[in-house]
Amino acid sequence: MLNFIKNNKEKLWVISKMDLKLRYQNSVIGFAWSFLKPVLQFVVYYTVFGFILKVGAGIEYALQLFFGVIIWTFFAESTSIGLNSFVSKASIISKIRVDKLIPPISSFITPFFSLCINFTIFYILYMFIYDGALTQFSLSNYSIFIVSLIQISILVISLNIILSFSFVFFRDLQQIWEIVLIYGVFLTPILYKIPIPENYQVLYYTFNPLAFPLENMKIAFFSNYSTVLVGNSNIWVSHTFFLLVISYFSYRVKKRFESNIVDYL
Amino acid sequence: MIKIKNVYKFYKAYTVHTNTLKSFMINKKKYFSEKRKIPILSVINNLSVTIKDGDVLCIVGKNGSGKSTLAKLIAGTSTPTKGAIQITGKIVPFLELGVAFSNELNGHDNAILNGVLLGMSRSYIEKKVVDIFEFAEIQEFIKTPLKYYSSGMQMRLAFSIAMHASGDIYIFDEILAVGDESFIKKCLDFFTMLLANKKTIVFITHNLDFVKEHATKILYLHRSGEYSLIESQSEIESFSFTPTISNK
Repeated sequence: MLNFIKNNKEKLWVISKMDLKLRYQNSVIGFAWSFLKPVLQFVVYYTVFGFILKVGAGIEYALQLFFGVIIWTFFAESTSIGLNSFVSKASIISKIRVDKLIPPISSFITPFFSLCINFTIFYILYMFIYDGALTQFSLSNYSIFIVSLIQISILVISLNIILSFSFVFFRDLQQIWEIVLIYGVFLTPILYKIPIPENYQVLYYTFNPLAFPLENMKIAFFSNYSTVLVGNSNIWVSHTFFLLVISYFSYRVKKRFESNIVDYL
Repeated sequence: MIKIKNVYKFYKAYTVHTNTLKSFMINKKKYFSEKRKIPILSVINNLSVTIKDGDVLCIVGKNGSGKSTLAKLIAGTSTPTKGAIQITGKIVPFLELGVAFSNELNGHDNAILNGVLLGMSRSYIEKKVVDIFEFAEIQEFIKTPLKYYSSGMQMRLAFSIAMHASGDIYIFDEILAVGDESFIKKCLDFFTMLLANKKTIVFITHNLDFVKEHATKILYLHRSGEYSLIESQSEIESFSFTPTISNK
């Protein structure tokens, strides 16, 4: 992977940058949409779950909700663009020799730009309005945040590779993935904490692989958030195992189809 | 140098219609049994050719004989079913011009995107971008979105970008010159310069005069996957489209 990045960094950078330009080319406020969208989503969710359903209240819940929304937006956008990455770039892939990892990985990088900006907005808000923001950040919390971000990145890149190759053969995958994302927003601890019984925690956090790093990130930012997960070695082992399996599977898919995917486009 | 060793390329004659996961799951057994029955088309059949540095290989043959498939195999966008192709040197493909063009991006951004995909570094294209637009004779449209370019302007830009990608091996799929008369002359001058600089050229063409004038080797592909390779100058000069098959 490091070799791939070293050899293709310029192609990845230029394709991702141009994709980002294209997404907001003709819109009036342009790139601002990339952070306005999660902000507006947050307003909707906060109105429904904060004011009406009273799932949570106060600044801490609002910040947790906003943080969850930006991570989810990144996940949903990356995988949706990633799924379509071969089909939408069919003319390039079939006429110019490019590494077959470039389309799914550039689909990860483009929304990652937006994530960085959204995270900066979150962080500024967090520093200004969250009591104890300054005391919260220790080396261990930084480490948890970085490790969780790496886990999410591995998950998204692996999914993008699997989805992009599969979508060439099965075009209804797009509809299926949209349904998965609709369920995902309610089955992942974004809008509320999901009370998972202790016996089922390993199972839940393994098969909802976004939930574990998301919860850990919240633990790193918010002192009152549950600390059960960080210390649960069983979840760490099973989640890491799941990431290894999905990474290996994506590697096998790439190996199997990279040489002839052009013939099916 | 290009070494093509015992290369085969097979395609299935058609595909079993299962564009949806649902129909695949429901008719899984039927799908695999139908798939096994699909006849295999042999497009390239045990092809072995060595193209030395400075060679001009003209690939000729009727439509559907595998010329473009072979060009894609050499360019590396498609891979052989069997056999191997060894390439020494950097390839610049003129298979289809402007494939990475986006109508919404301006000329400058399209030049960067296409150039990087053709293997040029970003800093090199930034340095050459004025030359690229000057060669294409559209320097005043550098910041104009591509959707406002005429098709001729797009072709000129695409050609100009590709010709700035300095390589060792150039593959042309029937595209040697584009645009109006004066631009065609510039394209031909560029081709003459490649010949003078002893670049390796793979050229797909139906033009017999061109073949006789420039080819150092002729590869005549037949629809059955067979081929004839003509290497001697006298045979090239007397070449017509009915030679004998040499790999049968």
